[in-house]
Amino acid sequence: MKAHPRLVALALGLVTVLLLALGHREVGYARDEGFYFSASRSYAAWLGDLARDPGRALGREGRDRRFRENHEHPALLKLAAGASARMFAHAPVAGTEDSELVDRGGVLPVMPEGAAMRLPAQVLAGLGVALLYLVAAAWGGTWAGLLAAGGFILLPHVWFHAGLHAFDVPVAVAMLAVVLMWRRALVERRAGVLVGVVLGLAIAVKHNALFLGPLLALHYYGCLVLGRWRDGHRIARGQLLPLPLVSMAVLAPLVAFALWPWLWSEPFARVLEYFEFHRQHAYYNMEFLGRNYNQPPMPVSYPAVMTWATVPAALLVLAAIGAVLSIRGDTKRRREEPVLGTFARPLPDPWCRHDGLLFAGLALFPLVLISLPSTPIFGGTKHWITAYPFFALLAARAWTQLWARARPRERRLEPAALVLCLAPALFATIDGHPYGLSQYAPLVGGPRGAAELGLNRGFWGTAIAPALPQLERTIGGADRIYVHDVHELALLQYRREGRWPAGLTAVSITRASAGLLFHERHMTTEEVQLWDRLGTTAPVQVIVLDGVPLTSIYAQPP
Amino acid sequence: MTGADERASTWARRALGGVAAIAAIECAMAAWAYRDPLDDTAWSALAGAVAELPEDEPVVLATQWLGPSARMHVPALARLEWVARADLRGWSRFHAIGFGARWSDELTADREDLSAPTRVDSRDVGPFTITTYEQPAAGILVESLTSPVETLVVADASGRCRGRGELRCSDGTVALRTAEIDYRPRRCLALDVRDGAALRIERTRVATGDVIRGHVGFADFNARLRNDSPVAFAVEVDGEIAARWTVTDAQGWWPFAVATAPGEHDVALLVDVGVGGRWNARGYDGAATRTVCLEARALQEGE
Repeated sequence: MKAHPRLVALALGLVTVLLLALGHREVGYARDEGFYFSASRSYAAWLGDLARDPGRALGREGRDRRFRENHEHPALLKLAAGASARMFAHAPVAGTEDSELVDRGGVLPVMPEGAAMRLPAQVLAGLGVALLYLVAAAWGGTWAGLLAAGGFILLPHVWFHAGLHAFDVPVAVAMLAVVLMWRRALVERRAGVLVGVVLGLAIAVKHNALFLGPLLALHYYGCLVLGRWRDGHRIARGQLLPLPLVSMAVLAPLVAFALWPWLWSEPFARVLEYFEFHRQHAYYNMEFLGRNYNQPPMPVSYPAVMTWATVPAALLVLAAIGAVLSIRGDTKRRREEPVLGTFARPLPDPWCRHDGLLFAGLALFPLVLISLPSTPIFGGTKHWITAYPFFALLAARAWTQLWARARPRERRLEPAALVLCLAPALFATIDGHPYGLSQYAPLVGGPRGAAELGLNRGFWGTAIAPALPQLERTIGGADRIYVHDVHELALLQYRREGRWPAGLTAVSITRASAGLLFHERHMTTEEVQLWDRLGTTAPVQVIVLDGVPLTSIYAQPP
Repeated sequence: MTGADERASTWARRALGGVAAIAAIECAMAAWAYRDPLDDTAWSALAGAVAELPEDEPVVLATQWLGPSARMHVPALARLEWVARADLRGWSRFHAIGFGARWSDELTADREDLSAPTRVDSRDVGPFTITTYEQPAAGILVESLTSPVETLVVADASGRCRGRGELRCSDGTVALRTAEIDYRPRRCLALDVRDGAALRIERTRVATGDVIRGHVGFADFNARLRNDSPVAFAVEVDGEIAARWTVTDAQGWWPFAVATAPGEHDVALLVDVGVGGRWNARGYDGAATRTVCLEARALQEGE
């Protein structure tokens, strides 16, 4: 019996969510997550305010009080995370409650608060897997679907980010959803309306989606020009400014605005502030090929080299073949009788909608953007993670077209070939977990090869969670610890969940009797300061990935 | 099937074969890359082997990223004077521990203008390689000119700096410590002093060889980002200025050398820090000092 693609997609999505939800309990709280946890509590409190006293909650003071925190990012995912915690989170450990809000855990307390807050992002990752499967399975059947889904979620860096309460994988999935809706919007009225709504939702996840409107418009007018010039179609007046573009221009901002109560007061000033924040984002440090970068010009090759270093080459080659075949296929389409498009169905058959150009453009754009010497590179691969769903789709296109040309008896090899192609990514992800941020592709030599090359070891202070249960014993009962890159709000989250030793206080290096050190090239400063303070260069524990030190725990010798 | 279809089919089969071959290579490399060959047994064997080496022969890493684990497992590799070495001078024989490596870029940098050392032995201990080098031209350390602090007479414009361990001057402090310079740990005399401070660091009647060698650097990558101004640096021997330089953070761990006649001399290091603070988004902050680090040694390099 053949399983229905939607059922398979649903199963894949659910398995993804389940594995992320369970597996990421071992992933430490990232520096940025600390901000989002705190903001999510505040935003969820607004939902409570809204239920109790709508008038006051909807007033400027009520909104600003709750949404001021972390207003440099849209509210949607933090609202969802806060709501998830209100539903599923255990109550905080006594003494760590937030006095500014009702802080008693969820109505169905089945998991730690951090895990509950990570859940919405994980659900979106599951949705991404399901969407990729559905699209690719429609092209080339089950194996192509599995390649697209696995070629995305099995990448170690995607897996790592997919489980966090952060916006990178969620916005990648949201952008994928917009693009899939966009393809339908070119031929279908209802999708033409919905694409604006979906784009609004994507913008409400993270600002990366703001680029989509112009990029999709470029794609549309490209199709229009090529259709006129190459295929001899006539262009109707309604096609000049069609429904999907109008919907994206009108509905998307309204939806994004509606989902971000912080913008409801002084919208122009606050939107400007939002843009200004991201335009002038601070430069942090990033090691690349043995050199520390913290100010422009950034290396142009960074995204390309890091993509090669973190994505298995077989998948990259497939994606490249997919791009070539798709673009070539679009340009070689047989000319058919010209047809007029309309406002609501701007590119009906037989207009060529140039999916190859669309996917290749969206796969390349984030890398090109980050390649600009003025663009900061502190976030590593996550800054172009929005490209990866499109890499996966292009790989699935290649898979579909190549196997379609194989002989029938050769096609029996397709499942084995799929396992072979996904195995390197799967190995990398399993091996790297819970330190996926520090994982590298096999051809680079994994973490050891990357360390030899001088590539970033990790950031955000996550590589500590598995050591927390024994931390007190490891540091010999020291009561003052320098926590280095663990942000105070991430530390608060550990405390709220009872994961941080109760008597252990976070202090500066100058007062520390123990210390954590997350290894990055520019962190040598802190490490030698710890040596001087503690009178030793020898850690008491080193957290490694395949032998490469990620985190050192220091303690004053007895 | 047409000729074009046949060609397309052949091309597709080749492409699939190529992708499968790449994936197979990646699987094989994954089996090698995604494992930890550096288990406790391997480290324990290395620690045992290193413990058998002569105690006064320096042991350093040829694989830099092993650092934290190596220092935890092998006491000799945690010795501060070797971890935070100034260079390879004075080391006539030393050992380098590597994982698939016998030498490193860091060792090349520390060698400075010395000729390449001679590899006299190399043996594997589990996954590690211990390589022994000799370099007769490395010279002999006669005396450190910047440690211990108690042997130094340090003064600024207001007079002599006082204290034990950390010397307090009117313009700041002077102390022997380990500092990050150019992303490497270095043991040095750290001068945390304010704008315009001019320090004189002197050792009287100190034994010297035929050369004084040392380094000047600037600690903390953040401070280096926020202050690029140079310092004026001079070496005085028996009351005469022997050499004078201007040094900036772009020069990293900058080496200097002054020839001396072997014997006893009064040696002073003169440092004029110029602009000692840092620039940040709010402007110049003179109170947030950057640290100037220096070290100097008297060496006998000739016959």
